[in-house]
Amino acid sequence: MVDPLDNLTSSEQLRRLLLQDEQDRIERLEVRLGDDEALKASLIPIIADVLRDAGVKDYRQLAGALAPIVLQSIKTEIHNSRDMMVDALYPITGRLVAAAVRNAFKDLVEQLNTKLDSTLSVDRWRAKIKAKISGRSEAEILLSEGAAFEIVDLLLINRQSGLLIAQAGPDADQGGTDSQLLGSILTAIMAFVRDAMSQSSEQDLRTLHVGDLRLHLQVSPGAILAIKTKGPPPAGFESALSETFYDFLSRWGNVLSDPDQISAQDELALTEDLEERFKLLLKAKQSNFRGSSKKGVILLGALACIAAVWIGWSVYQGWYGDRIEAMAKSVIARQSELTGYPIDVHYRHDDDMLAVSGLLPSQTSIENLHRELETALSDVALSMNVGQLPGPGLDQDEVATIADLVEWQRTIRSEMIDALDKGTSAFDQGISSLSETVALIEGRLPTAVEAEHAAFRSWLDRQIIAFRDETDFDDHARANETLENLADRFSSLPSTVGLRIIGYGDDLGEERVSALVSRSRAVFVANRLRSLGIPFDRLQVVGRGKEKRIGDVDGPGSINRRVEFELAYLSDNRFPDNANNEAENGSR
Amino acid sequence: MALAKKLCLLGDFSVGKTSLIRRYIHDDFSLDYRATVGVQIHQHKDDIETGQGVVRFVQVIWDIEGSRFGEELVTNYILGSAGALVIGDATRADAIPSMTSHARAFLDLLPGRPVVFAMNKSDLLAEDEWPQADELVDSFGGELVYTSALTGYGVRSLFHALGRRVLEIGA
Repeated sequence: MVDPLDNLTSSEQLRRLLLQDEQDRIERLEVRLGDDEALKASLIPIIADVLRDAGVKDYRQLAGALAPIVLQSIKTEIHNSRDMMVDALYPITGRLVAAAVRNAFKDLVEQLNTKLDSTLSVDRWRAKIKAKISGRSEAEILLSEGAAFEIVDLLLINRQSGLLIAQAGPDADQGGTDSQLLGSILTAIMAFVRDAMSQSSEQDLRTLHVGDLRLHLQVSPGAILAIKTKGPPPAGFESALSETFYDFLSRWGNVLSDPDQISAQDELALTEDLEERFKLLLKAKQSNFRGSSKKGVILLGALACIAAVWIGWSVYQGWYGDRIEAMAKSVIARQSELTGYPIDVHYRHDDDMLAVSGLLPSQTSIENLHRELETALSDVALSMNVGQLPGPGLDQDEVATIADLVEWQRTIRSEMIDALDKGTSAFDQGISSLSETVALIEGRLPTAVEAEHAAFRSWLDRQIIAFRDETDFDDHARANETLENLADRFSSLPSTVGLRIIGYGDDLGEERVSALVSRSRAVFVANRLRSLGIPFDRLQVVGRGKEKRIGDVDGPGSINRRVEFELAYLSDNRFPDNANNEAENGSR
Repeated sequence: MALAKKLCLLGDFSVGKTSLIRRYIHDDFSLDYRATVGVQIHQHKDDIETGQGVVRFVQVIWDIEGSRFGEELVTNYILGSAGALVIGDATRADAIPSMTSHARAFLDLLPGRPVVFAMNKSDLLAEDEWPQADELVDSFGGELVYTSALTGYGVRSLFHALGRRVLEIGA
């Protein structure tokens, strides 16, 4: 038998003897790792264990090494499989949209119910009546009767683990031990409800209601926002809660997508944000979750805008007018021949016109100014109200015209002075004549005494004393009043004036008897007047019987049975003896 | 806020999951068997010794009904767990296959999360009769702890082992 070593060189034999074990090991390694296929075959049984152990040993390092590759793969997959992504995301987006629409309808229904309740409900009318009776406000009564709505706290929960991520509210500082359990039970209940009540993963539990306590839930794929409340929630609360949650998600969505990896820093910031939103919810609760009315703000804004526009327009107009006037004055100043002449410019905003007024030396200067202004201010209308000063450069016709006017003025003045002189003389004559006439008239005017006598006579003519029968007054009171008045007025007359008392009778009886009776009536009246203070010697009695009838009826009460009066002027200041007067009976 | 993690207990029905929790939290045991329906959630705060020191740790423990294993509802209960205790009955012949299926289901759902195995009711067997289940650790990592809810043997070690691994891995 031939030893294989015999065919080898001594050096090779030596090498094999020394390195045989290493050579075998290299060959085995060559089999396991020699090429890609061998390496691949060797890694397949252990790669899972390697990764697992690597994860156990240093999870973060492994995750950091694998994340970029996985992320890039996911991105590529998303880009290449958009339709599939839409299908995959549909349950999530569909659920969000469904929740939003559901909340909107719920709010609408609650608002309608509130409005209907406010006008139709018996409770509301009862509250109104109670408010009227008690004098308290209706709102106060409703508040005292109704259970007040209260927001207890706000919990942000990891949707999968049920662990509390953050908490806001009065109990937040207590460590959240109970809240941890609450969150876990809540997620278990939600899982149970989803499994037992609905086959669709789009439906989630929205509210838990136990006694007066409610747990309102807002759900995203990674987190649950649970708000614990007491009392019936007002309309708009769910909507406000949804807005809070979506706003919160828009900021923290990335962090909450993997709640297990939230850093301590993020957790702190997230808790602070949640507390801030809790305060905002409490603030919104004070306004009963109604958006503040912006009508007043809009109105004020509109008024402010109008005022600003008006002020701006006024300022602009003022500036524009000043600018136009400044330009016009500059044009005037440039014309040296106008220096010293009174001229003024004023811009009128109403008709967008520049009014130019004043006096210039000549028509030519006015026209020049007009032309210059038109050139400088082509977009502004001009109103030229400029007069021409009389200057040395008058032509012959103008001189002649002025001379004629001066002469005419002198003539007129002279004629007016003459006419005035003549008029004054005639006026004096008229006055003199008028004075004479007045003196004549005054001479003919009665004296005051005569006027008084005339007035008394006129009054006396209207006085009648009527008799019923014989010497019996028809109306005693009236007769006495008349006589007293007569005595009073007669006493003021001069003593040269006497009073004639004339008695009359009716047609009944004989003429002689009537004359006697009428005189008796006059004597009767004279006696009464004497008793009233009139001296008897100033009285004259006359009986004229049927001489002067003034009525158609005769008999008792007839107006024909009367006494009248006349004034008489006494030459010797006395009537003849009344005895004689009696003799005069019926003879006058 | 104290560090809190969700842990879940998995295993066939009547292996003693609820009893282990009761012993761990309340140091109590009852011979009355009442099957868990759905899930029971417990919370316990404990100090866990880790490589970085002692950590105050809130364990939110989900005791999941064993008879409905594999259903979607149970899957939803498991989601979000930082780790799992897979419990087996040391006296049952099918303990290891059962625990294997639970562990696999958990890791399929939450890959890389720590699992600790408990062979419960060990008090019913002599120590040399305890089933050897190193293959579980070999396959899924973690630890295997022999426990007795009745005596309390190994219970605290079991929960602390899971807590430690959860804290160390940071899941």
